[in-house]
Amino acid sequence: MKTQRSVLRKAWLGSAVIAGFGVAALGGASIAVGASETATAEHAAFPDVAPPDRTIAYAFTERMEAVYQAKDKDGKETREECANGLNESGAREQFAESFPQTDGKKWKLAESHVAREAEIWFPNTGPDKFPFKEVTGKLSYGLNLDGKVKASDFTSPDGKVQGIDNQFYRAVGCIASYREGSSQLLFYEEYLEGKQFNRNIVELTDVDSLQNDDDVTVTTYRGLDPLVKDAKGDFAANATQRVDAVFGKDFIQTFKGRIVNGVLTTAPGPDFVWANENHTDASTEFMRAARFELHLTPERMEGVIGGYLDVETGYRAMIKRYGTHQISYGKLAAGSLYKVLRRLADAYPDPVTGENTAISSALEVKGASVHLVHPDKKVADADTGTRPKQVAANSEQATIEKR
Amino acid sequence: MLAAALLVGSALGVSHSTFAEPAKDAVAADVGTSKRLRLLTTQQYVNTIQYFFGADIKVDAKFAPLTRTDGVLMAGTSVAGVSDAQIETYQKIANIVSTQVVDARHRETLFPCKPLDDKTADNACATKFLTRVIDYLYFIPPPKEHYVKMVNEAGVAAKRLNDFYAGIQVVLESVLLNPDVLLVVESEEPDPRHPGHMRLDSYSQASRLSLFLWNAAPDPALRAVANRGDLFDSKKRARVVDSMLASPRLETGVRAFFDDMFGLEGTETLSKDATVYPYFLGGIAAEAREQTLRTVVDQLLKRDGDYRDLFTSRETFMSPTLGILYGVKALPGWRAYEFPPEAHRAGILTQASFLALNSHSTRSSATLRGKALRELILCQKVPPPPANVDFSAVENPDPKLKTARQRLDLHRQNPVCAGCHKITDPMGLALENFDGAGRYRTDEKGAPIDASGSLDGKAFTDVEGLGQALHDSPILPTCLVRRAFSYATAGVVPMSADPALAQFNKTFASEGYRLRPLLKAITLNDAFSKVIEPSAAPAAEKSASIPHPEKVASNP
Repeated sequence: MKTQRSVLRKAWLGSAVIAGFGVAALGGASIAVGASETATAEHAAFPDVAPPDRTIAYAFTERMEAVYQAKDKDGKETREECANGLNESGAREQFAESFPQTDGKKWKLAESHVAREAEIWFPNTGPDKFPFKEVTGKLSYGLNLDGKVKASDFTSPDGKVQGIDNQFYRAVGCIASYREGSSQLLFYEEYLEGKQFNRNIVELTDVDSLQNDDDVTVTTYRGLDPLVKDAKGDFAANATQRVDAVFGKDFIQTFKGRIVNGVLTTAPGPDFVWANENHTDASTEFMRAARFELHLTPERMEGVIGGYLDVETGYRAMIKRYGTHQISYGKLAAGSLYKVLRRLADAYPDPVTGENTAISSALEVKGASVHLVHPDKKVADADTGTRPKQVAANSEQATIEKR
Repeated sequence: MLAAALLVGSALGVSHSTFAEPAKDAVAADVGTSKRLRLLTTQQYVNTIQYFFGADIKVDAKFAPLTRTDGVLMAGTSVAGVSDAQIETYQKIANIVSTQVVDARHRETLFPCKPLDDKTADNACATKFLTRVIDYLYFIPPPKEHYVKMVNEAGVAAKRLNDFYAGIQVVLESVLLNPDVLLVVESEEPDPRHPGHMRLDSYSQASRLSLFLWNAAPDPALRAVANRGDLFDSKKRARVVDSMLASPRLETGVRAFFDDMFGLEGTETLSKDATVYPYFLGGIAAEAREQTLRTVVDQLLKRDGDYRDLFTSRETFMSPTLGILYGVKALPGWRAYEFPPEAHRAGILTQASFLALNSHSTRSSATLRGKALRELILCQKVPPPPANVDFSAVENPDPKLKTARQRLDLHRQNPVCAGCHKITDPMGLALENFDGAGRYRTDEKGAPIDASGSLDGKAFTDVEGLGQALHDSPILPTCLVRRAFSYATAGVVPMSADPALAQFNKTFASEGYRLRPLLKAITLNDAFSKVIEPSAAPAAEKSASIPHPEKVASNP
């Protein structure tokens, strides 16, 4: 289902270059956001005119963590990025090692299964008794979030972008769950299409041209309507989405950006909050100081969203969505992942402990254009009560509260 | 459920004075049609069953397709045959319907009585139920012995099966298979107003009225009217027609008529190449059909508007699926929608139903669209292409020829083809701003589209101009009149009906081309109810001829 993944990454993410879009302050660091230098043939194919009402919106039709996998000229994985190999110690393996039954020992439920669940739901940052294999390579997709080129940073696979911040990739890149062909990725599209909560939308307003416009406003929303597939089985462009302005206010965030040669880039903005629902659970996740780099056409959007993923929220969303049963198939051990996410977290230090609470990351996204229907002002302004704690307005405070 | 729609219609209080009264002396003595032996259409059968037993009785019927005769499918109901396979279909449906009617969920409401013992026969209760059913379903009341026979058979079956309702089910199934239910056998009788001439009998007239205006068999109230002979009294007949025109069931009848006239049944088998038209989603053809029918009902019934405005109005209805094709916002469900002027969508010819139906699966067709426009909308006959025509210029074109106009220009260099393409293409090319699925476009393969054209000497530059030319064409309303009369009488319009058609045209025009006055004029006219011998009713097709000696290619 995701066989195009690497091809898409090469096509879209590999073109990013630092073009000095803008500078913003983040913990004293300056940030440069890249924009593509060259227009693709597809972009040249549509008229350089303003979209109707100077507005265009896209519903997300694909969204997954940006994970680079090295391949040879025949497209076969070389796994150069995982010099130590892939993680072999997933949930099942760790359980078997922790509670061996070879000598006929009978473990009590409380000291085995329940204890393991406790490790997942009440994780800690202490040493991991199991080996964990991180990405060792130097190449990655993503954005240079802080404008710096550090030792821990990555370079884009085409070598054009230095200083890519994506420590989340370093953490998960050698876990089968996050790599091509994993059951987790196979379900991504199915859930995105089939679950109504997963209706993330990005709207561009004040657009004079989809090819070049130095000042556009970008707003994210959650939509209320299903995605529609066309006669070929692709997601249809031009469907209609109603904005969830009642229960979806947390998803409404505004960014400023510009379009250069058909590529939208935004300045570091507020949180990018997205809905994530699988077969049993719905959750929300967010990345801080988020920014977009999206290739645009009148009917399609494709690119990357970079930012600092809030570790607590992201981790809890993940374990809510996937039980031990599911993550076992991808050699993912939740407790171990938590430790490494916290260890590699590289931004937003907790004011009390000084430990970083967010980790640089990137999402690979695709979208189809939609006609967005905004609710009446009366509905939009309605007080809908308490916001979900995990997506509180002050995400830092939310992180602290969870500890 | 069994409430008479006539009464409902009367309660709506449509002003009778706004309708034209029948033209008393306008009809020559030999005006009329042949008496018909008609098959019920699928939808007429479904409506008949559901109006009586309730809409929750599922009737998954699909009868054999009809033959379009002189431009009207309904005319094909009187020339259709019944095959073994069709009888098998009837039996299957009869079984399904009768089983539902007697099941535990429905018997409480559909039976007027309860058997004393539901484990055996109960002739009294069976008589009450079956009398109501037979009275409603048979187009002509059967002799009394038939009722007794049915009750007795229900009794025998109940005793054998130890179940009163099972006995009823067996007989109900046979009732639903009875030719007097599935076929409309029109009967004639001497017409005392015109000695020496014949007219349809009361039940046959009731059937024509109901099938025409409601697309269903007469309801109990109309049967009662027929029973009393009220339809032979011009004033009482007018009141009945007014009531029927005011009934909500008129919408069903009008939808069926325009579905027939515009050839929308083609949407049931319409498909497009998904790689060329990915936005022609599954189910969209049915929604396109529905969009056109909703537009018709809104304009002609709810607004009581001018028929000609159907070809210029930007107002329609939109669904989410159609919104994708049209590229517009569309909220869930069906919503009223008005295309903005810049959308270049004005009139039903610019709706997906007409555009997609009259195209190929991978490309648009100016010729098919022009042909459909001539034949369906203007009642003109476009001859089929000659057998030896060379289609290569359009089917395997020079890639340098990017637009349909360029390809057809080349095709028309063949003199065999040229003449008739002049009939269809000037109109069809005005619709080239819409691709084969009906999506708007400004160019074809990068070449700008020239949508200019002409209709019978009136030139225009775009599709809005075509719509206006149609609106202003004197042929447009006369075609509707002709089709309506043919549909109403389920047959080819005889030449002897010309005086009646002339009267209908006059009434239609004087009433602002509104539909209800036309329907009333037709149903109150002697031409609707009189019977003439076949020899006096030549089946000459009277489609307006296009004075051109050559045949037209229907394929490009």
